[in-house]
Amino acid sequence: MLRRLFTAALTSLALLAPASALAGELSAQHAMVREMPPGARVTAAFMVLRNTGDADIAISAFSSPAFGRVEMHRTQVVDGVARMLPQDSLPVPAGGELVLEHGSWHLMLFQPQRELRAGDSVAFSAETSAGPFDFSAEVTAPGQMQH
Amino acid sequence: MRKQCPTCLLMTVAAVVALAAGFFLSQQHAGRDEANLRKLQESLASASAFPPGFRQLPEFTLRDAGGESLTRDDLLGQWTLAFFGYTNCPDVCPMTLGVLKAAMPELREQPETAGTEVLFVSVDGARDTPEQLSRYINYFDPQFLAATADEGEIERLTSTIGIVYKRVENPNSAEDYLVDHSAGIIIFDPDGEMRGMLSAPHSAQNIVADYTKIRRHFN
Repeated sequence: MLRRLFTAALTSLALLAPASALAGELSAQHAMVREMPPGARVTAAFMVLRNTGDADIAISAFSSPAFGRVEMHRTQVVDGVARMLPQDSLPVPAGGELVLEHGSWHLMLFQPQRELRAGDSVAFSAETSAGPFDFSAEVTAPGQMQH
Repeated sequence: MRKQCPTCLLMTVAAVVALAAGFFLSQQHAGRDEANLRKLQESLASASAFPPGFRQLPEFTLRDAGGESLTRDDLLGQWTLAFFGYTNCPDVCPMTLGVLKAAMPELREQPETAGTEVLFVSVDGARDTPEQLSRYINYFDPQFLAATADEGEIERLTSTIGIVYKRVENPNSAEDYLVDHSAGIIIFDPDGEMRGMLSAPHSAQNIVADYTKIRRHFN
C-alpha cells in the first residue's frame, strides 16, 4: 500500500515535471528560439542544459519538426572576427550545466518548416548518451532575450 | 658689398623665433591631442577610438534594400554606425542589430548624438537580394540602411577599412554555407573618417556610453 502510494506520488511528480524528462537527469531550462526576421532561412536556439546525475552526458544530435535540420554550433569571436564552429556533440557535465547562449554554444536551426512568431512553442528531440530527451522552447524576439 | 640692414636682421631673427615657437606649440598641441585620445580610450568600456587620418571610407557603390545605389557620398554629412554581416547569420548579426535597435532611441534623442545613421552591409551579395535585405532590415528598424554588392566591390570596401570575412562551406548543405566575419561596429564621421570601433560582445548600454564619449571628443 505504502509502496503503491509512493509509486503514484512519483508518477504524478513525473507528470508535473517541466517539459523535459526521459533522459531523467537532463533538463533544458529557459529554452528559446530566436524569432526569425522575415525571409531568414536560419535562426538559433539557446538554453541551459542541466545534468543532475553523477555521470557526464553527451548530446550527439538534435532534431525538431519545425526545422529541416538542426546543427550544434559554437560561436567564437577571435581577434574581432565571429566564427561559427560546428560541434559533433554537446558535453553536459555530471552535476553541472552547459549554457547555450549568444556568442557561445547554440543550436543552429535550418530550413524553417513554417513561420514562427514570438510566443510559439517549438518541440525538440535530442539523442544523448543517457537516451532520448525531449523538450520544448519558446520563440522569443531578439530584444526580449535574456542571454 | 651689400649694405647691412638692421631691420632685415631683426625681421629674420623674429621669423626664426616665430617658426620655432610655432613648431614648439604644434608639437605641444599634437602631444595634447594624443594625451586626450589616450584619456578617451581609457574611458571606453568596449570600443577603440582612432586618431585623425587612421582610415578613410573609400569610394564605393553598393545597392541598397530599395535596389538603389548607395555610395560614399550618401554617408557624408552625418555620422554612421556600420556593421558587416549577412542575413543568414544565426547568432551575431541578429543580436547586434537587435542591440543597435535598442540603443538607437536614446542616440536619436540625445542632442550630441542626433543624426546618426545605422548601415548594415551584407558581405553575402550572392544570397542577399535587395528584397531579402529590405525584409530583414525592416524587421529591426525601418530607419536602418542595408546594402550589398558583388564580391569584388565588397572585397574592395572591406579590405580598405579593415573588415574581414570568409565563406565557410557547410558539409551538410551547399546552400547553407556560413560566413565568418568581423563583429565590430565601425564609427564613421561626416567626412568619412573612421573614428572608432565598438567591439563585440555588444550591449545597448556600452554602445550608448562609448559612442556618446567618442562623439563628445570629436564634435
